[in-house]
Amino acid sequence: MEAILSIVVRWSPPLAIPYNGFAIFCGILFPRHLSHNLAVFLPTRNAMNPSPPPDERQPSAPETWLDAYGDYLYRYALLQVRNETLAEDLVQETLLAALKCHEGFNGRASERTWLTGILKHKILDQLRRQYREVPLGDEAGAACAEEDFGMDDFFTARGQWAAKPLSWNDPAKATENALFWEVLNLCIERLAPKQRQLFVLRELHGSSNEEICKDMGISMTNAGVMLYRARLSLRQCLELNWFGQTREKETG
Amino acid sequence: MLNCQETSRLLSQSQDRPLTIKERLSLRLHLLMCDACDRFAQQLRFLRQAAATLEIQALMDDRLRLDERARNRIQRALRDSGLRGEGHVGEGPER
Repeated sequence: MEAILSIVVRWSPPLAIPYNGFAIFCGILFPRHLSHNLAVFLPTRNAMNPSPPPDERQPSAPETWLDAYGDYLYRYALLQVRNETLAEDLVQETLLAALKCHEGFNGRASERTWLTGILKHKILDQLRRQYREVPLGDEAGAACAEEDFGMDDFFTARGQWAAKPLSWNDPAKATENALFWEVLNLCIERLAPKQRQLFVLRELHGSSNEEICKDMGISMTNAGVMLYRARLSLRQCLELNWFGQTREKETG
Repeated sequence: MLNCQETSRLLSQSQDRPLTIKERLSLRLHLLMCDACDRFAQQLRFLRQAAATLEIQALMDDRLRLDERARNRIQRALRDSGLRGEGHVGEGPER
């Protein structure tokens, strides 16, 4: 099941081209590659709602947006910012921006996809501001991180696993358990903020590394190091909090 | 010869960029001999699938909703900006 979903999610059809026209119309500086990002949302909608009702393609009155898409946009924002107030503000900013230029909506994609695209732009804006305030460091800093500064949690000085990854008992079965998803969510939440933001952009929203680095203004090396650390931490967190305990859970 | 740390780093990078032939060969050689890294490779693939599924689940999670207060605030902001006319959000006279 999740194999199929992941394929569907990674599927990027060239359907987002109309957004370039929209972006120009709105005067919002969508980076051109964002149109590629937007394609990511189409499969999500398809996965949840295989045949959108025809009226979804007609522009609806802006007053109805909050009721129709508010919760969805809120959930999307919450995935990235993990803060309810911030997520609410992002929804508000998104709808205000949409209201300003809703005539640019050409009805070729669903309204929700269009609004999600604006929201994603707002989220990236905010992350970029954050990253500018606290510089991640230049290539030298990345090279330093590349020297595995702070990796001793995971590896010995000779580059061996400090704790070898154990064999996981039937991961496919774990995904059928609702609790597993809560654990994974908590593990993501416990990552260092920048690692978490990068991981969510990369693995949940399916952005490419090139897009992320361009949008955040960080080097590929730096992003790679942070994603590496995020993956090591998440793997360990899942092993400690789920797969290490599977046996007790099943008997209990 | 790669050690486990270098191997795990390459495995992570392989999810973000195509590896060179040399990198792929040395990776495969290490994985043949090292069960721990082989498990790590499988678990990374699992993590990627799980993360993609998690997004879909989170977006469908009915328990997560804008609360009434936030909804009203946003509704008000939208109405105010509508009254001020398009393209002038934030520039209208404040009461």
